[in-house]
Amino acid sequence: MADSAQPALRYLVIVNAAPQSSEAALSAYRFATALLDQGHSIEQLFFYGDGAHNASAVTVMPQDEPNLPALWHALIEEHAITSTACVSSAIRRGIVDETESNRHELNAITCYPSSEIGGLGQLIAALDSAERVISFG
Amino acid sequence: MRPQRKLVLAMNDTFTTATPALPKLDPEGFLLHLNDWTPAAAEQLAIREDIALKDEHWEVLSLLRRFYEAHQVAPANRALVALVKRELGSDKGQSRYLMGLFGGSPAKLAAKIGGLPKPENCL
Amino acid sequence: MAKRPLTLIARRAPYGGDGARQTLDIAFAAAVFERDVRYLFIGDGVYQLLRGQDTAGIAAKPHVAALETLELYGIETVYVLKSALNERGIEPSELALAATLVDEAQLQTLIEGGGPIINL
Repeated sequence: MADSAQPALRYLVIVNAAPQSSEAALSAYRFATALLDQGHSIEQLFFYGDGAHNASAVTVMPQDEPNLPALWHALIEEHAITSTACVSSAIRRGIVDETESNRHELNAITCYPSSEIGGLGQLIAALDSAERVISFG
Repeated sequence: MRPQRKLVLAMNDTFTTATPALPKLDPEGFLLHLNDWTPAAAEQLAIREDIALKDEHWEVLSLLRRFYEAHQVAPANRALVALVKRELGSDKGQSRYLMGLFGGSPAKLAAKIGGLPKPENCL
Repeated sequence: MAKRPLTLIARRAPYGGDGARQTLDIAFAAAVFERDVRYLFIGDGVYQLLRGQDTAGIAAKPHVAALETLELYGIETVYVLKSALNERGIEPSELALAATLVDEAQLQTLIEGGGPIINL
């Protein structure tokens, strides 16, 4: 499978779809897993728009269906990936960390700690350091 | 998942009303309801930021409000500078001029005083 | 090293989904970080540029009004695929922004011009 002559590449992966409404988020996860398996790396994972739901720590799935946010969380931790959920996408969808929770006077934290809530500046910065950009959704 | 329960303080309740009633604000001092904005409210919002509004401030605030009304989007600093340059001339369309009026982050502070939505920290 | 331009492809109609606005927000962010943006409108994306969008009935902000602010971010022209206008019966005079009309070959040159592409 892996082509040993192929150089390792740094990817910016943009996920722009929710886990439940299409196959795009699952495809993104499978793609991310495959590229890491082949020795490439993810410079930045960016959850944008409906993709912010992938950072939700309060998603509950039946035991016989994949819990994509939990899978992302494990993958991000395992590979120490820089993962960001766009703040304006996230807060509209109820995905908040402690900072945003305080800022908007909410009493819940719903974002996995493996993803930070951040700005589009993260995405733009990653354009310089990543060698490949791919978006899903 | 970390459990999290917090007391929510109703900050505005602690203000006494020595000055005309300030509209309701969020914890960062932005208007909760944009329709509450009045020139008098702007004066008070500015005082909270240690700014006494003069004509120079008002000309930028009026421009910003007209811009927001027309485009329904608040400008980032770069765009605010370009807007002021286009409408008020190149002497004023400069970062340092606007920072002199509204401090280090002119677009954000002018939005607060001018009654535009709170920036989402997206940049 | 000079930053490579960012190419944005807008291919969705302005309402009914948030793809149009998401692409615009990336354009704003790129401009704030001093990166050149090539903003291409193809397919249904050309509807975003129509003058006189009245959104009073749909609880949405008029997208074209936000697009009009691109100029203040140093994005002074957008690229529009001519055939996308023709297929939809839209005249260039109906567009609210200064647009450079391109054919398929020119579009291809723009896309292949190097630099990252974001197509949401």
